[in-house]
Amino acid sequence: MKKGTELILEAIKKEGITEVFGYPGGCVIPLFDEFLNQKEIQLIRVCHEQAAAHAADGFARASGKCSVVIVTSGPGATNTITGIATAAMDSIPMVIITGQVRTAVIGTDAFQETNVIGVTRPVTKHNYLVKSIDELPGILKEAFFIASTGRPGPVVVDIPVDIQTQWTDQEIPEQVEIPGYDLVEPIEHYRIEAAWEMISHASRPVIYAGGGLNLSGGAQELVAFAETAGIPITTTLLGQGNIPRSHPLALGMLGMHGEYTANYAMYRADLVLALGTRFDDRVTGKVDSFLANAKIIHVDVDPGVINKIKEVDLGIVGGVKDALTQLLRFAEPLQTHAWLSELTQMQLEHPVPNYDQAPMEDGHLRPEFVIKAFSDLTGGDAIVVSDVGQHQMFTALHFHFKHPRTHLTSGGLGTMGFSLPAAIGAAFTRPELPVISFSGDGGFQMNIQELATVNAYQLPIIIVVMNNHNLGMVKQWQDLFWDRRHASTIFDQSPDFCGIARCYGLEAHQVSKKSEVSKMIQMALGKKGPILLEFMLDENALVYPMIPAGGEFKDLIEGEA
Amino acid sequence: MKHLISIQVKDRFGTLARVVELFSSRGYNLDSVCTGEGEEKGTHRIIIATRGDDKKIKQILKLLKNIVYVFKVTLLDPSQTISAELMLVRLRCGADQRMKVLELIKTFEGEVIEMDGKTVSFRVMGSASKLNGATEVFREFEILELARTGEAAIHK
Repeated sequence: MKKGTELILEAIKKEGITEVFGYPGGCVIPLFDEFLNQKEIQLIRVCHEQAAAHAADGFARASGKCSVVIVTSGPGATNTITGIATAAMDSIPMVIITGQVRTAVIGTDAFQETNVIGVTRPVTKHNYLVKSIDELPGILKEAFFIASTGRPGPVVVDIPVDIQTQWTDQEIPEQVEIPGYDLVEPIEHYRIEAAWEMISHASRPVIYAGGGLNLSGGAQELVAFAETAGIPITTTLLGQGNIPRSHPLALGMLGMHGEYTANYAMYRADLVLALGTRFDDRVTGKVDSFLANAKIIHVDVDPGVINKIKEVDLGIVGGVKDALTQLLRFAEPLQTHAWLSELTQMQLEHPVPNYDQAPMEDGHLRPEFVIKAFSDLTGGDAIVVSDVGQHQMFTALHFHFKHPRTHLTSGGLGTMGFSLPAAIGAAFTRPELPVISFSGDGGFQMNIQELATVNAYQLPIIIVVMNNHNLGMVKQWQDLFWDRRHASTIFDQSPDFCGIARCYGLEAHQVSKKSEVSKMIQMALGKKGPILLEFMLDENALVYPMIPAGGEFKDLIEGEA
Repeated sequence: MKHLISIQVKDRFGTLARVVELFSSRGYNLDSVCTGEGEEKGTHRIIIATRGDDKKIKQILKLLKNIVYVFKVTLLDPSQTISAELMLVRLRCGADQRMKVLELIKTFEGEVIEMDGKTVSFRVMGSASKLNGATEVFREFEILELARTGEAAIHK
């Protein structure tokens, strides 16, 4: 016989997970108590349940493992919703265990009762209310299985507090069988043959690689295939790092704030191989003009994203790594020399705006310069966590990512407040890499309480606040499309961020002079953290290039270089 | 264009809710839902009537299949399908109207279930469009209550 709480920990252990993120409360007291009986799994207690979900998300993104969140009923559970939705949009595997009120009082509006199944349904891949102890072991196994197979996603398991302390002779099954649940099948040979047939006849092919590369782990195969065939690669925000930015075939990020040449390549392409990506509106802009003259091959594990936005010429349901491994067997050098030269020429003529040589007044640093300094000084060997807004795009454009799973960012949902807690999760994954958390002065205040967690666990995180005294991305839209009417976007009442960090027990420095930027970054990298650096930025910097929402390549604004 | 979709699910907590929510959350039309135990024990068959162009329907089918515990999704071809719906109606009906009402019920091949001096309760079975037509006709009288099951459908 085993107790409910023992089974929950056993299930987590069986998945090889050694860190979980949570916050205690009335309906999970038995479960938290169980952690005291063992040493294999560390429970990292954050300061807010939303942060627990983001921390688990960061852990999963950086490690590739499924992650676990444990929170209490009612407000504990509802506080995780933004974190769950963030993970759902970017297909991140996560199991969220929520305490629930006693079985006997479910549905009576009991203290701290919420219909967790109801409120989490739209933002989960699946969810469960455990109604008896005997079904708990099977549900736990299924939850981890569903979260981490196929197109991954968050799964909620809502467990009433009385069931946590009940006993059962049911064991956690070794296998799960869910009728109709589609496992990723190997891609049939003839489909790959058909894909290669199309690719080999193209004269201007481009690979458009998304976050699916992180999930399937096909970065090596991607680069090998591109090198063999001579095909340039553009990545989405979530696909960054799957080809090193410095690679001659890398075109950088595409889309609304993508690089000129990446968008040019998509515009000119006669064939596009879309891998593990979902044709997000920030990538496509105006759908009718997007890839209007190209044949499209789309590979994804989720049949639901193929032909969803854009009709493709060849849709292949399957793993991206599988597709690339099989394509490599066909790959031969293509006659793309002229095409690659054309793109190289474009890169020379249209570089990303760079401010290395520009003079900067004290307190008016260019964000591009700061991000590039981090990139140069780490050589791309870092886990970079960005929040949402201008600094996120500056990071995507100016940090030269080198490895998969090293740019952790909320791509789909665009969740402000993601960076600091996600960096906390990432700090438990790859000790060889420094963790750098970038936030703006807006987003930083959305989960600022997590400075306490960073201090409590003495996490090696370099916390960077990119302070431009405004809500930069929204202000940018107001500047460009709303007649410079800055409704609620000027943040001239922000607190002293360094002072706050010191109150939380952390070392903190404000950086205002251009000449100090590299020095301070080097110092922080040497210490590994925890440390906070606040960079005082030019409040009028805008992110370029930019294709306005719903626009197309010809609408691209390059900005001043 | 109207379509009937047949969805086979494992009888597990919350599956019907996920199916229905897929329609509401993505703004798809949901004209009717009919559900109950299917041919295999422990499974349910849900028949949904919806409208949309080919692209939308294809997308709906894929998203339905993505739901955990949905094990089969079939778009029913009207020419290969038997479908039926049941409608229960209670009308206010005095002695003066009785003959006319009974005549109409007979026209729609309906069946009287209960009748007293003031009301008549009856059922009508048939396609959704037949029941829509019948409803319009009976609106001439005072309908006290009306309930429809949604279309059930199987292959011919």
